[in-house]
Amino acid sequence: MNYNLHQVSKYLEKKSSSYLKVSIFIFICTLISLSSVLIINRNQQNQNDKNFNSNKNVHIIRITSKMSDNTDLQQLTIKDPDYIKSIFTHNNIPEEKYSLSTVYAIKFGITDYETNEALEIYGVTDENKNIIENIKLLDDTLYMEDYDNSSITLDIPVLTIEDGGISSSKSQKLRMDCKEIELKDSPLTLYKVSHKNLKYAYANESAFLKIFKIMNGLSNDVTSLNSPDLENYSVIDELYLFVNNIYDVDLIANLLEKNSYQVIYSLSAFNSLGNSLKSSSILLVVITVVMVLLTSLHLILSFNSFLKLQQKDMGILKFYGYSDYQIKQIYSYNIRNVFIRLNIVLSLFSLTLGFILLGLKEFISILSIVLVLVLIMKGIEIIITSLILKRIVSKDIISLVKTSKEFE
Amino acid sequence: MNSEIIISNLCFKIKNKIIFHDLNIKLNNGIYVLQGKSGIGKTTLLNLISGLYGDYKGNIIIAGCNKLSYMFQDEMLFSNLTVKENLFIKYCAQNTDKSVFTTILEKLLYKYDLGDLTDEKIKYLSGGERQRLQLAVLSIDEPDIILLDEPFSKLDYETRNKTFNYILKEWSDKMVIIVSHDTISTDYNIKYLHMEEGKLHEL
Repeated sequence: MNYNLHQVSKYLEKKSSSYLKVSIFIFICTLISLSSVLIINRNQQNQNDKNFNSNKNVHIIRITSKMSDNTDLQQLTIKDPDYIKSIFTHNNIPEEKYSLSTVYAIKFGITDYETNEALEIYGVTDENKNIIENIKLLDDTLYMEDYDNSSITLDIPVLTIEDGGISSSKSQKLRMDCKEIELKDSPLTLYKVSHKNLKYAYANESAFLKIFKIMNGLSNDVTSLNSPDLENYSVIDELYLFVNNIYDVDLIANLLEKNSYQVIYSLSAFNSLGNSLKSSSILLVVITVVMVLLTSLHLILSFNSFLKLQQKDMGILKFYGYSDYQIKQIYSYNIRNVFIRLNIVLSLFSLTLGFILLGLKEFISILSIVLVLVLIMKGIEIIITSLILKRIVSKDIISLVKTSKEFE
Repeated sequence: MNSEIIISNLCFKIKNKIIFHDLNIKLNNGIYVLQGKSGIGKTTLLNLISGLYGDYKGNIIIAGCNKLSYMFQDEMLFSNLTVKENLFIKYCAQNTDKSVFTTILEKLLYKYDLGDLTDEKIKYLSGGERQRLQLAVLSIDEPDIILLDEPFSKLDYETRNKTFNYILKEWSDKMVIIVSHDTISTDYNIKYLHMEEGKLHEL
């Protein structure tokens, strides 16, 4: 656009009606609300993500026991993990949707030889690190919270079965490496009560098997905790089922309960929380889309009215000798200016609010929101200049002057 | 340059209402005042001559004319802009050299006695001042044929004569067609055209 047309645009810009100014003000207020809703929604999503999606404890279903046919509670056995997997396969739940970890336990009899404190020892199979994060449990090593020594000597009672009961008359010492472990957010300690004279120790499957074999006088032929030789031992404490998608937790827990398993999981306290979260997200998207559509429509109609009011001016420009193309350029320039100002206000607002609520780490999300809003406005600008303005400008002088009178 | 308008066998109707039927007339340089009852087709004839209506039958031939300027009955000025801004917008329609504008502006303001009103907004001008400005706007193009639709309709007797004198001073050697209900008192030889039932008679 040449300098002179630029100047003409500036002169005509002075003529913007107060009606259009009010419409633009309403539009910017709605877009600011929209931007706030998007940012607050993102913040809420982050919060939900922190509370639910990223919180491993919410994804975990603890399987504690099984109900027998005569409604007695039974301890889990080494057959249960495979049986549970077969239930899932039968119900079309693929292995990619979950991972099952086994927690073994010896809950009595073993003491720390040096301090004489009682120990509860847990063996953990945790290939996907859903129970114990950031650490690989080593062989011949016990892991404890708040333990300063680098080794520990276990005093393990050797059990014998006499007259249907268990007794022990001797014990065996076992020296193991000891490392400190942080289990603050682990589901392993979530429901455990701290006790002055009781310590919890954790080991991998191999270290646990070593202790278990000493305690039960098992031969070296037993090389795994899944060995058929252990079928009659109450070795499994609980199974921890990690469900990848939070929305599947309810479904899978119900399936386990239907198969007589006793389960504990955080989401059971909420009535279909997964579905509620999903519905809220969908509702928010729908409301946002409706808001954008209504606001855009309002602005397009306002510009339509504004441009109809300008018909006489367009007629004068034509009368003065301006071509349709030049008139379109003159008005497009002014409309573009309005949108540039709107974009600047909205972007600054969104960036400020975004950084306050979401922080720098969400820079990409904030930028995406700004980009979406800018694109919406560009779309509206194109509709106004390419359709409405073009249609009005293409009228002949007499129509422009006459219809302008009718419109007024 | 001698301009000519030759209208032959002109037929024209708007929404099935016949405005002209077989209209014939030849006009040369000079000042014409076109008169007739309201709604008879005076403005329509100017619209046809200026090319705003294309769907007529017959011939309208315009010869010896580089530029034709037409002043509508409706005021064609940007009311909230100043005299200077209005003239600038008109100037920019055909010209890109901004430096020449100042010279043209000074000339026009002097010629139409608008010097004191350069930065005055149109809405604060009197009827006579507005008409003078409209004439100034037409002058920028240096036209050979000038069509003026009711230029005196809102003016009192004195202002009407004053405005006519501006027209005479600027375009007495051109062809000027003025639609007016009023008789203009002047020594200049004005040709009166009377329109009646789609025909045009020179009085």
